[in-house]
Amino acid sequence: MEQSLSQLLQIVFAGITAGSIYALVAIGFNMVYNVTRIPNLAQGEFVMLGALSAVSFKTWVPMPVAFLGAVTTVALIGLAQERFLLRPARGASLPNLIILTLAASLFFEGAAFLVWGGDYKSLPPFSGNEPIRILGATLVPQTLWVVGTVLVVALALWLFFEKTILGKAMRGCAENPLAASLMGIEVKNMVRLSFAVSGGLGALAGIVVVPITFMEYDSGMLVGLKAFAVAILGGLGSNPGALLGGFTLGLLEALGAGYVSSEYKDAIAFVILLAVLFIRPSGIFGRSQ
Amino acid sequence: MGRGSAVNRAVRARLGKYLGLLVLALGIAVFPTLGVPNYLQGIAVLIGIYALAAIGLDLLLGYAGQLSLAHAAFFGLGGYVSGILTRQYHIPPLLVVGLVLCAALAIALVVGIPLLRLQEHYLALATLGLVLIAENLAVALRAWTGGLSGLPGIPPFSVGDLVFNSNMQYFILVWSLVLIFAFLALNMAGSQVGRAWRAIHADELAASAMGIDVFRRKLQAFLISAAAASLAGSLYAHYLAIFTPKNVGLLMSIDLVLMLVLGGLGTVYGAILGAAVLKLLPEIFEFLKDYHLLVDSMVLILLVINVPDGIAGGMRRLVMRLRSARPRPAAPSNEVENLEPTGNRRPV
Repeated sequence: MEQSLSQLLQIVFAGITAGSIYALVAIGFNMVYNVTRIPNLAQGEFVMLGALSAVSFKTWVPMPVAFLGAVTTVALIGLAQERFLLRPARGASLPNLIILTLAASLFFEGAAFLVWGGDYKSLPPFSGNEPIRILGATLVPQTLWVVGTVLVVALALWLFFEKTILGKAMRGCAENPLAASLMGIEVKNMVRLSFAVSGGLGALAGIVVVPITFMEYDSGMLVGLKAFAVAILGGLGSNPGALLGGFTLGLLEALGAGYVSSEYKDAIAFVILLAVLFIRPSGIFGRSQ
Repeated sequence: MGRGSAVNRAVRARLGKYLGLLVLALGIAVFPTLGVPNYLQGIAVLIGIYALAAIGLDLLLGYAGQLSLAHAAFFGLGGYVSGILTRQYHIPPLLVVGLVLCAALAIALVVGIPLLRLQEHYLALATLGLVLIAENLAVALRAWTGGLSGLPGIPPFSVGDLVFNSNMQYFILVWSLVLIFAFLALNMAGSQVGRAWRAIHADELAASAMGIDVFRRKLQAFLISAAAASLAGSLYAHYLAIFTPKNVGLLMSIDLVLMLVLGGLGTVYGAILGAAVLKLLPEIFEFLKDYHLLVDSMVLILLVINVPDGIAGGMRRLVMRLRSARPRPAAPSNEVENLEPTGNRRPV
């Protein structure tokens, strides 16, 4: 009995960690989607780029500076993606946009392979490796960093969108770009900002998670696709939805891996996702079509 | 314009429609006499196999406008079922292909009914989920599929005593199928069904208001494309004698959509052109080694940005520009209107 409780707890910890990452990336995905209606499937690559550049920077500068550098670098990469990829393809059809962002994904992988090669990389945990024991289950301190980061980001973004002029301007663009531009909002700058922020958020996710899961040049794509799934599961564009969707997918995966078979982890998660979509075609929080 | 010119126009339109098929048929007939090296013959076979799946997907994506990333799953169904049944149970390949087609249609029907009620991103995601499930199963059902290392030693395709064991035999088999399927697809596209698909692509609500059974038409395209993909998978397994989870995965699905976008959506010929470009690109850039992925993806990005309607679309625009440069009235609009890419365009 006790053992089964500790096992469940252990699984929940794993699920929450993965879920936090999905949620963070999905929030970045929503950010771009809301302003541009572009589903940026290269979002997961920001996680990989953030993690690997932080690992590199750390060899030269202290950890906090390295992290700041990595977040800035990937935010700039996000800006570059907007400038060189999506601005020229303005108004493209959905299949073309999906292909373009997937091609960008492959481009980032190709570039990362040249820079970092094909080895797995990792960072030491931020605050020691001493596991915390709760009811027989063990919790690595890094998990708290991951969950804490998500919660802080979610709160900060909520404040940004509700309390600041810039945030309100961005919401205006999401609602109606034409009307927003008539109100004197520079829509172009909002698009740029959304890409930069989503790049930074992805990098942050990569940095906090790389001490737990190793990363290599092709670790990003599946994370990005799952974040896309999470964003849709929670209702496209909704950040509370992204949080809930992220934790749901993370927990489902962990439960499937723990109680059924770790081999069928992805299949279980996506079967449930399909079931949700078939019952509620616009996601849990989505407005009906 | 008089009646005569209208008839002329109809004849010309019909000729134009089948001219490509004629060129294709000639190409297939001439290819064996060219003395192409064996290695290039092999690539030509693979291009044909991919073209088969891509033409099917073109009916669904190019004409009916429904984006599916699930078709690698059907390709994989064909490959694995053909591989397992002919290798372990020694069932004649031709019979197995029949079984594969039935299985693909049955599965497409069961999956398609809930799936095709979804739209745009939701459809893309659901089909993405399907392909990830299929990839997962292909790896995990090790006893059947051989796991990550795949299913080796699949016997060659055969019909009665005729065993296909040279590249040229496969070339003739595969490209005859491509020719037949392209002919059928063009006819479907030009018929009432094809017009219904295009109407759905342009505006689903308007299409249903015109009395089109939107769901049934979508399902029809989905079934045909699933069958084509599974047939291509069977041929692939017999030809290469090995089938691995890579052939079922998301990247394979992306490849199929890429072929269409590159070649030109909703043109049938575009599917063939796109398959050729996408399979030849890595061969051309092979010398780049580590830079391979970088250059491949860059070429794709440049193509999609600069020629958004694909090679077929770009060629048509070129022909139209040349024509209109001549001192005679511009091409009548009815030749062009139904081929314009419509739908899915969204204001940014």
